[in-house]
Amino acid sequence: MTIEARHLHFHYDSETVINDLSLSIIPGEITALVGPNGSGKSTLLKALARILRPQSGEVLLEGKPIGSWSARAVARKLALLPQSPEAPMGLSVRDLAGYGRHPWRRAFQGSGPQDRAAVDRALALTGMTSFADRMLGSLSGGQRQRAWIAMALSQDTDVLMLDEPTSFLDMAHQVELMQLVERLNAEEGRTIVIVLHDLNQAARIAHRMVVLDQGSIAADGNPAQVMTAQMLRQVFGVESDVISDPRRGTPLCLPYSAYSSGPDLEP
Amino acid sequence: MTKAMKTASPIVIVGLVFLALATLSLGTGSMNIDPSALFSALLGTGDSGTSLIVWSIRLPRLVLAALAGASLALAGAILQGITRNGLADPGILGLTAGAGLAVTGLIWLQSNGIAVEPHWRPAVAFAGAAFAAFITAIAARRDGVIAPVRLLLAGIGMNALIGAATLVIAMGLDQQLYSAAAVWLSGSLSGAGWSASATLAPWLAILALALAAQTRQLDLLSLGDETAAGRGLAVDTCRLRVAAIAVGLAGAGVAFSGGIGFVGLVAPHMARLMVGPKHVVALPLAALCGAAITVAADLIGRTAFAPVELPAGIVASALGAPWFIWLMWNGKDQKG
Repeated sequence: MTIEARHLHFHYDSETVINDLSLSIIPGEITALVGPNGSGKSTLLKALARILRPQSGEVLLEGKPIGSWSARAVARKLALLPQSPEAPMGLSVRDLAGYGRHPWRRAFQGSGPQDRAAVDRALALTGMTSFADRMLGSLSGGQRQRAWIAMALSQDTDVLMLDEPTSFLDMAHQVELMQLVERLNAEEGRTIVIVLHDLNQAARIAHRMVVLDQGSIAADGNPAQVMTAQMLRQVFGVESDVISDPRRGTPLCLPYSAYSSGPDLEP
Repeated sequence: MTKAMKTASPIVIVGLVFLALATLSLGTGSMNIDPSALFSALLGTGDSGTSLIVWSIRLPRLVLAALAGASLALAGAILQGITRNGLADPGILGLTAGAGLAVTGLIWLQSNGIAVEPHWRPAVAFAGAAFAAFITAIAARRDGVIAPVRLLLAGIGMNALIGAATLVIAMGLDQQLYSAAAVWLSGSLSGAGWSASATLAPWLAILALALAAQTRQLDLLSLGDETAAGRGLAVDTCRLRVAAIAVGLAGAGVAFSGGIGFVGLVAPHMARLMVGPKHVVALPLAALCGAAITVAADLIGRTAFAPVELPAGIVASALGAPWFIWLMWNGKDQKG
């Protein structure tokens, strides 16, 4: 399962969001897309998932332009979970997880044993089995997010794309979710492309970090290569110490002041 | 209680309420008919006078009320789903007004000697509703996005504009056709015969069948565009397809009975409150609720101030408007 972006270009009105960006997702890895607000990371993710069509350039899925795939065929290969999705009131966890089976079902066809098995497995993987018949509205933020991930998992795709899944969650639920993502990669072998706001979270779980800045790739590599004081100054505008995570040895950034001597910030 | 029972019991309950209302409606009027006489009339064994009243006056009117109510309820359920806005309904979005303008135009043509067969009326009403839907959507659209608030505001503007245009055409009619148009516009089932239902039923059947193939798609659309697209739905074409079905249902619903407001708003909410948001069960229940509400509104309109008859549309509005305000106050749209 290969996904490759070639010379993508996006602009909304006159504002350029993605500028001549090329990127190839490596199967089996966790790729974290990071960058400041407005750097284009969410737009890139949606382009990779065929949700948005770039103004120029193309995304290749298994070597074929993704625009030539049907939405349904793409959804059998990759599952995208958008940022803070919302469901109608009165929907149960199992109902929601069942929606992930849509690309595999035909009109008027009820859910078959294969669909039910996929939903059960997704609920088990996300630890939501005992909540299956609960209404989404009655769950905590963390449980609800896991229910959404169960929907993406029941889709049975090699690739999972998550857009800032930890935003609006409290700390315990964030950690829990990151563990779930790592497990899905390590135990299930799913390729994961994840947009993250928190650099330290990204450095902890990702095999590869892609840093976007103003629609271009500013840095790309394993967390140790990418997370440098210089990159943090240039892209995020902060002065920081980068230390080694005492538990994992992955880089950890500790910003201590805003970078103020840059030429752009001069009055 | 099992899940199947949870779904089935509201349908059974609303079905029984509908049957009770239908029995009451058939039995009540200038001549009251007790249930046993009613059933023998329905079975064709009653006396000829009673049978005539039941079979040629009250039953066709009841059937038309039920069909129109079901159509409007389904249209409202679709519109609320695809706009993800619990305040959407064929009346508020201007579809009913558009159909009204088209039908008034048809009556105007008739007054000028160009008679159009009545079975074309649903098609004309559909065209009017589609036209209004198109203009409303264009007016509400900005940067390729139709925001719910803007859609409602555009609908209100559309209603005012089309209402004025309809009035201008209606003013040009002679006295008799004018009152026919006015009665139609206020949503009256008065004098309905079998021909209206016979025309409406096939339209409704085709549209309902088309809708039945789209229930999962509607479920996905109600999760928002990106989530739906991520599940493999071709969002834009799918939305266009179900919106066309909604316009068709709204047009068909008002073609003979006129602008019965608020049924399309209230019925889907009642259904969702009872069985949740999944369209495969919420849609049939909404249709049943819509039928029951319209039959009840017609019954109240016929009997409350007898012998003066209030159009069902006015009764439905009088009951539905407070509900609408309550919905706004509670902020009870569909997000959860």
